Amino acid sequence: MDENKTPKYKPKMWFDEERPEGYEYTPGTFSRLPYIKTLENVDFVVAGIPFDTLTSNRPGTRFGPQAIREAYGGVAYEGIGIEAFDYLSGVDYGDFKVINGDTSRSFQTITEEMSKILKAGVVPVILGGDHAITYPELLAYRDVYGPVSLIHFDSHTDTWGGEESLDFPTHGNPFRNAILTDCLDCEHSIQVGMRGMMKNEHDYDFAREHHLEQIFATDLHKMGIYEAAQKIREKVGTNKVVVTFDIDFVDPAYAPGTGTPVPGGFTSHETLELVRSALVGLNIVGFDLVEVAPNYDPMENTQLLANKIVCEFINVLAANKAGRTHYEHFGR
Amino acid sequence: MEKKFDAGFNTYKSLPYKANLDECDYVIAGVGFDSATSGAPGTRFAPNAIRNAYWKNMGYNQNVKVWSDYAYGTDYGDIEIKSGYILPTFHMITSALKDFLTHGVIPIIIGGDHSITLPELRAIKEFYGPVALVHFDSHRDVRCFGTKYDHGTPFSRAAEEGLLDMAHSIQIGMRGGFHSKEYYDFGKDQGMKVIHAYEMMDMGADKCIEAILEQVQDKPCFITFDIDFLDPAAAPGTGTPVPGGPETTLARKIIREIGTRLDVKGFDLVEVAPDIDSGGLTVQAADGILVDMIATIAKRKELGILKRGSGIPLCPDTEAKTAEFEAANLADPENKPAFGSAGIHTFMGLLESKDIKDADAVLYGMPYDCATSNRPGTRFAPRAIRKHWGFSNYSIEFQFNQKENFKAVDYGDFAVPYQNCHDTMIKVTDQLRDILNNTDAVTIGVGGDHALTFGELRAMKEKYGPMAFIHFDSHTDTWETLDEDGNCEINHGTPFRMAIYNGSLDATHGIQVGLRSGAEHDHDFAMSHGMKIIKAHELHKIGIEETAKRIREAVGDKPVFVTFDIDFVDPAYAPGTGTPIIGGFSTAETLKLLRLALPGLNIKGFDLVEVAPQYDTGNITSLAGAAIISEFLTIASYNKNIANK
Repeated sequence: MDENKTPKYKPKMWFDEERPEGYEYTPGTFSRLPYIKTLENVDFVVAGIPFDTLTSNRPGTRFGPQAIREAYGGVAYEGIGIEAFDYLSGVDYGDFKVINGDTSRSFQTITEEMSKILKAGVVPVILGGDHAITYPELLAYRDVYGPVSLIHFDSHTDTWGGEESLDFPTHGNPFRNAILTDCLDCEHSIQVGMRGMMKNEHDYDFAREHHLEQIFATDLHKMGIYEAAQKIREKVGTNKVVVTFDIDFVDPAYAPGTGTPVPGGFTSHETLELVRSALVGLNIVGFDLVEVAPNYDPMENTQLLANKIVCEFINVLAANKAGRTHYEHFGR
Repeated sequence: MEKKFDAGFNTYKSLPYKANLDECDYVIAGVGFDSATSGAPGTRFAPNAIRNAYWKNMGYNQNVKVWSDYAYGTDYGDIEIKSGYILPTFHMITSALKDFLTHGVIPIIIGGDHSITLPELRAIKEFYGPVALVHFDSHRDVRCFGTKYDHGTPFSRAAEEGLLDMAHSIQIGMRGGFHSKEYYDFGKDQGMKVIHAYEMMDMGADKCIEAILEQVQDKPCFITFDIDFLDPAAAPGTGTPVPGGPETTLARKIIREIGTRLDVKGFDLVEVAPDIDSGGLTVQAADGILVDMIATIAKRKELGILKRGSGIPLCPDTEAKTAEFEAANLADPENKPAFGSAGIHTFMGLLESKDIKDADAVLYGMPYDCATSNRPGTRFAPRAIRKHWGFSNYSIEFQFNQKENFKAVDYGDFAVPYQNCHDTMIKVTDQLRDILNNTDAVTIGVGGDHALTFGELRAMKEKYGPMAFIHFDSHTDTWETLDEDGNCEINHGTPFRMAIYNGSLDATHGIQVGLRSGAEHDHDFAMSHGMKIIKAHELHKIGIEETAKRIREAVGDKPVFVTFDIDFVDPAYAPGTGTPIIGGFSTAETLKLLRLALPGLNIKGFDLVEVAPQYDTGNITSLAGAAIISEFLTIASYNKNIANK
């Protein structure tokens, strides 16, 4: 590779003992990326939002970002099949300064920080936090890009709520609020994996009224990963896409460390394969991965999987930059 | 009174559910609110966990000597709240309590985080006027900066709003999160009394009881009990545990004695987080305290001194004043976050930096455990210890602000090759030499296993000569393991034999403290080189003060290296270690020993080793380790700023 094009920031390997000046390895960063709060010379930043005030059941996702960072893993060739840091430069941006208990100020911080990142043309890779944080993120996407397409992996639709949803955001209504504030291009957005608690048969009405397509878990199990991936790809087309991944999309057997787990989900292999086959080649402008509550997983498998999913997000970005249009093992 | 039972609803001790309050002496209600928590949340689950602790009726309380049923109580279920929204929830709590108080009953509230005590006090004040506060906790909860309403501010807000009779209020067990001198001094000029944890340990239960009775006298009072008053070994299931606290026994004794003699108008028990509990310890402790509290109400009723509330508000304007305060506080532009999240976790939330030229203390991690004989896993200690935060800026024991004029940085982890122990020792020596060449700062290493100390001592010796030596441990670590050539091998049982061999250690100025394992002649080698030894059984007998004196005599004014193996601490307080030995010391005793023994000595380096988080329970071992490192920092700052002036 041309020397000038070598990405500026990339992970430090654990066996590298040399520590060149100004390129220090800080313990506990995502994938051993350098911990620098910069938006220059980077393609993506990994940032944490340790906010869990709006969780309905078991709280504790404030510890998610650090648990995901520290899980064993890191960006690797295996899977999509790309050496991501031949193409990409990225840093660990640290955490946004949110205040648990103070929703309005925290949301303001999230939107401001996200806008800063997006205006610099950098792809944010966000570690949550509960799912409520995706709403202020989407406000920033709207301000910079206009309404965006959404690919939403989850076991819940998160479009609940009524009249007061804009005044009282929770982790059950981020997408209702996002739709109400024109953040989403619903015609080209899709939700995948829904199987969560329904209060009644009207729970999905709001999404349907706004033409937000859903693939239910039962249907996904029937149609298989690759057909679902194809549906997702067709739905979003060449639009600018935000990917939001709630870890409870995955079955509790594989990801117990979350506030509202729902059985009947997907294995870690199915999940990773779906992420790879659905996302490579799409015009992705941002990711988040939310709802990891490490205190509920003593074996640390949840953060292990979350770490891997985030690594695949980064590999997708690299594949896109390398000019790949699709996942090369698609359907095989 | 007839008992009514609702099938399928577990009331506290099978009390009747929502009985007629006019017939009751006390009412139990849960407030599952934890959105104002700074540490680990999860206290929302406490009310039901405590209800499920033990369903059986209370019966005869042998300690208070009364039938608990003599007082009539009812469980009102949980007060409705709006999770995630602090002020709306506060209003819901205040109005629910006012409903109780119009019937003259004593409310017993199960939290929830500690923020809920503020709205409770608002209701209490409305009916009884400003009350004396009896506050069991490890934190004073009187923060005056940052977020206005959270679980660190209830009593500064309550004092501002005039809810408290400060001259008769008392706080007991304080030991954590002292930000500043202002925090330390808060309310004392108005007569509020504070018993710090280290004072409490010396006073014992009886003197504490005396002090409380003397302070509160016959004034109407409110007792608030934060479960982190107890040591994390007794109550790990809480969001912000602080080592160095008392046992459940002491807490229950105090509650029983003061409960029967004070005019208690209300009680709450907060900060139990069952999902991060270990073996149900915390929930059981909370249950025991509630049982004793209820027995004291029965006892007062039996003695005829239980005063029922009139149900008529004394200060009906409380609500309007509250609204005034809230409006003023929320409009306050200074209402900024008290604690920004640090991003990457560092030791004690310190600056992470490789720039150490003007540093006073440099902390570094050594994630290495391949020289361990029994259970490995100490490679995860630096990251586990980095997760703990919220340590005091202001040292209550030394009474100075340790952060002022003292720069400490987290240097990150040393690169340690796992394959070969000899290579690792060389790397540790090299990297510590790099630090020592660049700065005269005190170094604080975080292991890793104890073999690493050998690598550190070699680098220390190059700069300071043979080091005087203070060694807290349950093992001597001067054993001999021979390889096939007959040379002693380095592992975590041999570092100090090796260090004596190569002259890094000045054994004539060395002392080992807390030893309690091994065979008859295990200590012969060390003693033959002049090492002094205080075994654990001896330490238990001669006491902390005498031990501290002997340590100071042993090292004199020589440059000292202090090495602390976490298994010095008893496994009840620090189970997460590779080779735990019973018969050790509590965290309170340990911290006291460090404070008495180390200040003023010529200390050049510390290390803390052998924390193995995967054998831990409720994170209490890594927390104890963090508290010890925090104490090292305090002592280093004390040596710089006070002792040497």
